[in-house]
Amino acid sequence: MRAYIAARLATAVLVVLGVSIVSFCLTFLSGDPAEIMLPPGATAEHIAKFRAEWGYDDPLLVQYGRFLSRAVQGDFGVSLRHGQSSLPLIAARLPATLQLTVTAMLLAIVLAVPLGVLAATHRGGPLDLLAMGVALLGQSVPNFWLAIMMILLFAVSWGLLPTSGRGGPAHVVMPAVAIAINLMALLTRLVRTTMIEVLAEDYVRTGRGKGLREVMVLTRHALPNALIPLVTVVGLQFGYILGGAVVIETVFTWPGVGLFTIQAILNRDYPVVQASVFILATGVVLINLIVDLLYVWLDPRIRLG
Amino acid sequence: MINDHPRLRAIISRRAIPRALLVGTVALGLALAPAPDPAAAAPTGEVTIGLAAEPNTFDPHLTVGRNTQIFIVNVYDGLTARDAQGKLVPALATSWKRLNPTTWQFTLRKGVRFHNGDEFNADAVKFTLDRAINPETKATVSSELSTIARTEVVDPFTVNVITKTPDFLLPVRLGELYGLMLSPKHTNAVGKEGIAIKPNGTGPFKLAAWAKNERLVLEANEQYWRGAPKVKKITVRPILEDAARIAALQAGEVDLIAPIPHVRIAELKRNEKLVIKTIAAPRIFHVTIDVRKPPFDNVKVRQALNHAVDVNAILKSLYFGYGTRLATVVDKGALGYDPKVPPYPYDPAKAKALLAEAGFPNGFETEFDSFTGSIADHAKPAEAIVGYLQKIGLKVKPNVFEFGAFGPRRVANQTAPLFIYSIGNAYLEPSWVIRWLTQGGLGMHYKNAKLDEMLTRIEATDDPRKRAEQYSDVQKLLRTEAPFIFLFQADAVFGMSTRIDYTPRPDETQWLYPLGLKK
Amino acid sequence: MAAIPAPLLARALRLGRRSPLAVIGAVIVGLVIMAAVAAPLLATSDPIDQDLTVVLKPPFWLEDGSVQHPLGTDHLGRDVYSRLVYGAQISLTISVLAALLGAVVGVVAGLVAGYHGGRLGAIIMRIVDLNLAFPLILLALAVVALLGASLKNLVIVMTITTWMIYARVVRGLTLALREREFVQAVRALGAHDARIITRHVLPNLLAPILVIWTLEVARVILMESALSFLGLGVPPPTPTWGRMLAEGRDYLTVAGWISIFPGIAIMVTVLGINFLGDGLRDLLDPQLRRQT
Repeated sequence: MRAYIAARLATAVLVVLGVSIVSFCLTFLSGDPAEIMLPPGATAEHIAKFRAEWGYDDPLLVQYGRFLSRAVQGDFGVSLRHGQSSLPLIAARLPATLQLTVTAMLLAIVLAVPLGVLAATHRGGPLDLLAMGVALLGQSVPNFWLAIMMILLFAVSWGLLPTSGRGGPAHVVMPAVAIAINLMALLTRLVRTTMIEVLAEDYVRTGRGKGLREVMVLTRHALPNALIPLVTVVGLQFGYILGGAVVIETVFTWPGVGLFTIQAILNRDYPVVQASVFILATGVVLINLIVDLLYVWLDPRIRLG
Repeated sequence: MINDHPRLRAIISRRAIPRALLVGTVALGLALAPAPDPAAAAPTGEVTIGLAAEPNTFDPHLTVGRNTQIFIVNVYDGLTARDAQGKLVPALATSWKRLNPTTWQFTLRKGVRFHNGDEFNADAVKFTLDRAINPETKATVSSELSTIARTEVVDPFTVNVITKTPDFLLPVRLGELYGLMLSPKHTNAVGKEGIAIKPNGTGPFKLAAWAKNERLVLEANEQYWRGAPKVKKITVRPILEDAARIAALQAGEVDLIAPIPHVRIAELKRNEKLVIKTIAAPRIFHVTIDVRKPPFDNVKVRQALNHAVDVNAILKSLYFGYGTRLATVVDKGALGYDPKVPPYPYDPAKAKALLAEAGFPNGFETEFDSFTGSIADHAKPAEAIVGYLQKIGLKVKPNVFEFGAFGPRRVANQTAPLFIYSIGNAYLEPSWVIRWLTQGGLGMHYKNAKLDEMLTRIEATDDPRKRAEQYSDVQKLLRTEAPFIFLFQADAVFGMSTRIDYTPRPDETQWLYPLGLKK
Repeated sequence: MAAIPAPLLARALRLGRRSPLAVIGAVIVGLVIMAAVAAPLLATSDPIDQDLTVVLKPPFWLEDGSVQHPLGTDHLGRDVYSRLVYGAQISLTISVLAALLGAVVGVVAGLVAGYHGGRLGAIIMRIVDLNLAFPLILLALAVVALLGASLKNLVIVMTITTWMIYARVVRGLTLALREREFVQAVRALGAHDARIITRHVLPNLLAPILVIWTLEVARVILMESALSFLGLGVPPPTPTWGRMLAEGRDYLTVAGWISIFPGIAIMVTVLGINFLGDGLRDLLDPQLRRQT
């Protein structure tokens, strides 16, 4: 067990190192920020001066070395655009993103479990078809499109929800739904298949045989077992959810990491892009690691495989 | 503070500023600062604003892009300012004059205090300008202040700014663009990272709170030297998505938004609860032509391109008429704009004839670059222009870049022979625009010794009226030479609720001082 | 090639009975493919020919609409219907190609990692982990920003975001297959690895790969629209559904048809592909249900 954890940790560290290289290279190969940073009147001479001042005329390897030696100390440099350390800037935006993504995850689970159970218990019937239809529809909608439609409908036409930004609980509803919808679809199908399998297992049939009510069988015996893969999948989907958050935060101007990163990429604010991509990717690696370890803990057979 | 009295100040200004020295000013009467209501009540009420972008910093020397410059003026003041008509007027300097070709003397306003109570004086000016040109500041705006050699304090309320070369635009530079004044004590105390979020200016508003991408709160500076602003608290909410920003106005969440896509104007104007105001913005759209490369070295080809594009139709269909056709790269509000220079008429037959004359009866193949994600939409007009060029028989391959990727290509002279671009004439002075567009590098390949000579002569002329006259010949020359496909300037669009009273400025500046609530 | 083999036909019929959704999906996908292939015949006008005198004309059933532009015109006076039909061509090309390229890269990587294992396999799986750790949209964004947006680059970007899904599944299945008796037996008989892989491993992988491929085609269509929304899709004037959808959002309240029709096209197509993919999964490989 300990060896497995050690090996798993080692690969995670390797991946994080890879993450740093990729995020560094991607940003640097995409051109330097002089054009964006300087006012339109800047001449070639000013641009050269700017590059020298910020060290963008050094060889790439030198720049990467500088980046890495600082990064291990938690220093990703000062944001070109905001004039402040990039790490605290990102950290200040993490709560907003976590609020949004966690709400979206919970929403997806809360919607998916009853839908999936309903579909599984009515397998092949019209309710199953309906639930699967809803799930697949959710997987087929471009989420930014859904988001804009919701703004027009719920905020403008009906005036029920605020249009954008972060504030009270009402603000989180539309962005969370927009992110949750795809995940909900995926989870509904997952719950359905696992429930169908679990319902066929011996202990469930035994429960039924003992005359337990169907609801009891479902909630006490079948569902808990069906939820294990659900939690794993939600964990593994975290990267995907973050990706959804990037787009949706932009639509709703949700002040989270995703929006901040998009702006940084578009503005070539390298220190922020590097800090943010590094943190997001490392977060995903960590969560995957935790999910893996949880899985081993739950099902010790895995590490033999 | 006697200066607070508008009449008195008007008299002082009138006496102090020799007419000929008012850069960019034709009529003196318009040159004076807007007079505050002498019996103005204390600021009251709150207003919320939705903007597409927020400032990147409140450090005036590290601003990136127009969006920041046009906003942070609400917290700071420059030595000069612009009035509602775009004319240059006194601000922290009450007057200025050229002592010799390379020395400008500014007489400073007395009794002005920074938000924290520090006094504004000649030391503050010297400190600010020294900081701006100090390499350690790594100022993004250093290129705009690169003519400054040094600043000398003459007495507590007089400074001399000495330039390396004659710079007739200096009073404009040292206005709201790049001359926002810092308090030395505060700036040193909070440090470089501090000043980005804790500004201490002399402006009409104090920055009370700022959570990036979330909200920015301005609070009235009741001691403001022009008189306290009318509104006590202004909350700025960045709302990136156009649809969401407009929705926020319609839902009553915000009282003022900008910008608004032109396509929505007609619909929003029908809404009685809203007021939509448009104003010509000094952003000049054009297509840059790589005159070094054949066939574009042939002036007939360049003229053909100008005849090929129906700019009026583009203005009508993409901008719904909210824009102005330009004959050259001089915008309508700029000094010396000559309405008598006619734009190239749309004439595809003539375009084809010119191409044939140039030896390309069957057209030729070329590429056209445009980009997304900059301050204005360039991709849509570019798409329409490419469509028109194809109609005269050219085979045009369009490339679309993300602005951050396009920039380095332009700087490295790696663009396609044709690319769309726009430049905001922040100085409202054509020579600044034309100089940059015809620098012969950074993607702008046209260079003309005769044109340079004309501009040099203009720049040596202090009297704006005489400068204006000379610009006429410049525009004629540009039109004939056609180093660009001349396009248009689009209107800026503001939407507001009926509860506020606001008139946007013609130079893109989001100046919130005159913003008031309707009684 | 003359006739569909009987067992497959029987299976298809069984599928039809068991999963009506899959049949609906197949019909939708068939129609979209037909539209894409026959675009030049179906389109009524040139999809990129602009006419600024007829901008923002509504569909024919609305006031001021005309049959000349059955689904109206966009902001440059281009025919929305024709753009939609050609858009099917472009959107399908990108998604099918990207999913296919992803499949090739991913299957090879997965086979190597699963069958060969060793250090190379470990490295491949670390790259998979690395790739999975990045929010895909950020990765795509950065790559498009780096390479510039073009049809070719978009296919490359989408491939980068899809290959590792195949790699993971293929590795898992290959690992399991390698231990299976028949493979062990063939190996004991001295067969080459290449022969084992092509004869015994790959055929067993085809079904799951096909299922993933369908679902990835659907995902790529959505991803393309998201990139277009962020301004980094296929450059104009080429019509893609994502681009049309993103462009039309400025005109939603005044000329909704510009984006509503491509929106419906994306939804229906993706839905059809998902229906079909689900049906295929049920039909071909019940084992796979838990893995994808």
